[in-house]
Amino acid sequence: MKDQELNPMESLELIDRTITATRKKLARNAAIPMLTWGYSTLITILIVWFAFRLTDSPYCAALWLLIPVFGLISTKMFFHKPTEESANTLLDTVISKLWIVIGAIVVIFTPIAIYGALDEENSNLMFYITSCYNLTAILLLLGVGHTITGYILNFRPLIIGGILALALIPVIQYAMVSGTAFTFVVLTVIFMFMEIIPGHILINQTKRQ
Amino acid sequence: MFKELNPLLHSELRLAVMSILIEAEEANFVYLREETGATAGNLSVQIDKLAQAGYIVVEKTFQGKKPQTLCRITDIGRQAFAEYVDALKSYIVK
Repeated sequence: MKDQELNPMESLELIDRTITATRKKLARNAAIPMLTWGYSTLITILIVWFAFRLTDSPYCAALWLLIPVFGLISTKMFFHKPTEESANTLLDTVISKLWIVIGAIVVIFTPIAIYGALDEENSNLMFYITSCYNLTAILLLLGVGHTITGYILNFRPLIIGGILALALIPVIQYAMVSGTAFTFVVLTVIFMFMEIIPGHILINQTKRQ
Repeated sequence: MFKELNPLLHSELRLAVMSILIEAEEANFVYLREETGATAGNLSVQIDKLAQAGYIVVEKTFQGKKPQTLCRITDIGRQAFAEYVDALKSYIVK
């Protein structure tokens, strides 16, 4: 681009083109982490589910630690934001800080939840007290986080996904106490609606613009 | 009646910079250079002009040890941009 005058129509076209391109880029930056972390969680759910089915060992709970491993690897692979380029809206900054806090709390709660499941001797009591309540706390945080993010972005699929996750928490609690594989089904549904579907909708919207 | 077009915004590169910052609110120099395809020297001159008019603020900071120039649109800049778009519409509608 050069320092040249445009006619009014060209100016309006430039404004439209530039704003659309910027919006597309910012939306894509929001969608990719949703998809990388959503799919990482989904794949881990399936791995843990099958591991429990095959071995019936409480040590399979340690496989939940694959979520951050897959999440970080996939985000690095697919999130090609050049480190030197940087554009942020105030909303991006608010959302980033919100998820830093949520992420930190989830990182603290998760090992406690896993430890409860690993303690084989006292597994019933420890499992119920630590895993169930910690998983509830994690899902509560994630559900609230996604709902707030959806409101900030004015993106309805994310609001719906977050609220659905919150609504399904009692179902998860019942499933865990009952000790059924239904827990994994509900978790799959939660992460599909909370992250994967909204992420794909957002990516498709940026492609259509 | 045609409204007068703001000469500061009636320039391809300056208009592109303002359009990016209207949407992004804050962007660094590298991002602006990549998105506009302008040379660093030319972009720097145009950013200075916008900053002198009070349309944007330029903050020189560091990202780790690397110097970084951040540009942010001001309320005056938003107002000027809105008035410019309004003025453009008077040419198109008529």
